[in-house]
Amino acid sequence: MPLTAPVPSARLSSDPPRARAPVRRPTRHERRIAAGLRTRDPRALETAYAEFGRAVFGYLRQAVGDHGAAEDIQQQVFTELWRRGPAYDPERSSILSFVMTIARSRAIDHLRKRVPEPRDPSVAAELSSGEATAPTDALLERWRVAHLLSRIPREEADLLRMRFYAGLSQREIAERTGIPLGTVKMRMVEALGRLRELIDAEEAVPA
Amino acid sequence: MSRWPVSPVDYLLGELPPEERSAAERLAAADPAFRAEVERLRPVVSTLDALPAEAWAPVEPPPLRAMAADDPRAVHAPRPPRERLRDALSRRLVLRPAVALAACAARLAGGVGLGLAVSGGGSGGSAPITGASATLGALSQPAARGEVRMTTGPDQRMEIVATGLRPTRAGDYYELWLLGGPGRMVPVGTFRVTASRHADVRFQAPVPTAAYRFVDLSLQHAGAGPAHSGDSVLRARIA
Repeated sequence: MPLTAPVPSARLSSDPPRARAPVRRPTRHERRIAAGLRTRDPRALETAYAEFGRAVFGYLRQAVGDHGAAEDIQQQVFTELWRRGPAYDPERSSILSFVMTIARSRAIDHLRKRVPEPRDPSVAAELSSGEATAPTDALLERWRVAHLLSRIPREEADLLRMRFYAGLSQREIAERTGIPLGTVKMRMVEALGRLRELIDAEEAVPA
Repeated sequence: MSRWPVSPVDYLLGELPPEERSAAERLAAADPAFRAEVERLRPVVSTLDALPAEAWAPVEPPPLRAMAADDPRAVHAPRPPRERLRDALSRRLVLRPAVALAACAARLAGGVGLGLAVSGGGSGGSAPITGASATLGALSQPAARGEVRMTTGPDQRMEIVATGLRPTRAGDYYELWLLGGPGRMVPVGTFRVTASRHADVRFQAPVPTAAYRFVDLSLQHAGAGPAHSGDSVLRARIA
């Protein structure tokens, strides 16, 4: 893929079309990583790995349906980030989108050349959604959002975890945590709003 | 908290009683600001609803290894012993099929069956293995049946007794595998089958079998590489 090509943004597939996307403004953190990659500073790669390694690995495990292969591809992705890093332009895309796009490409490469192997039947059942054979943009989106959860305040992320992972209602969360229901609801609004803003920031286009 | 009589978030989370839900729907139809707020947050809620369980507690990725090998300034920290051990084991697992394949090619050239102890007719050589056993279910060859037995303790031996196997053609051989979690596959040994369609073969297991969940028998083709062919003939759950 040409380095200047637009990378898929974090725009949610269920979003209605927008007349105009906000202009992209890289964060200081992104600028720092980009500068480090440009000057071939290995610490920049380590920082990027510490920040995005989990989301990339989670995506790869689901995309290729094979833990061992995901480990190998993970190394390829960050090798490629290191190689292409000097050309990464934070004004054009977020580093999260940049890394996830590399991961998607490498996952597709792997699936195209893979010799069929027997998959552990129990794992095959877990991955029966079909994501193991065809990584979709929706899967990429989910892992991008999963990464963005790490950028919201801990108490808000915990609240979202209780609601969307544990399946508790806001009332049940209040009962379980002892936090007043009104506070739970207020934090829920803030958490969802903050996540939306982070997604919008990812979605922003170059000026 | 909300500037509307009903909360758009409560509405999206499906936590409104029926009458308030109807009120929210009427409000969405009449109030563009309420509707916009619902539409702004709806994709976030949908995506969170669809997040895989693993996304809430992501698996620790493997350590970053020698990423900057092309850069002379890159610093490579010494790798922890556990990782070195794992890599050593991986190499062993990777090399083993290569060795098996080389042995296979040599044996095939001589037209001799393979495996540590192969019998097309059922004689096993030494005393039969007693211990845990599992019935092998047919996959790609419906007439095939079999059983796998394993010793426990330090002497990790395995025996596969199978009938109804398709006789191997020139260049074909059967290979026994241990399957663990995702991507964990260990080749155990190879053998050929004569017109009797019967095999009674014993192997020394290369790894503790207790760490693996399935035994898989594949039909392999010489020259096609050491990886599993994808043609699983028989399989049994062992744990």
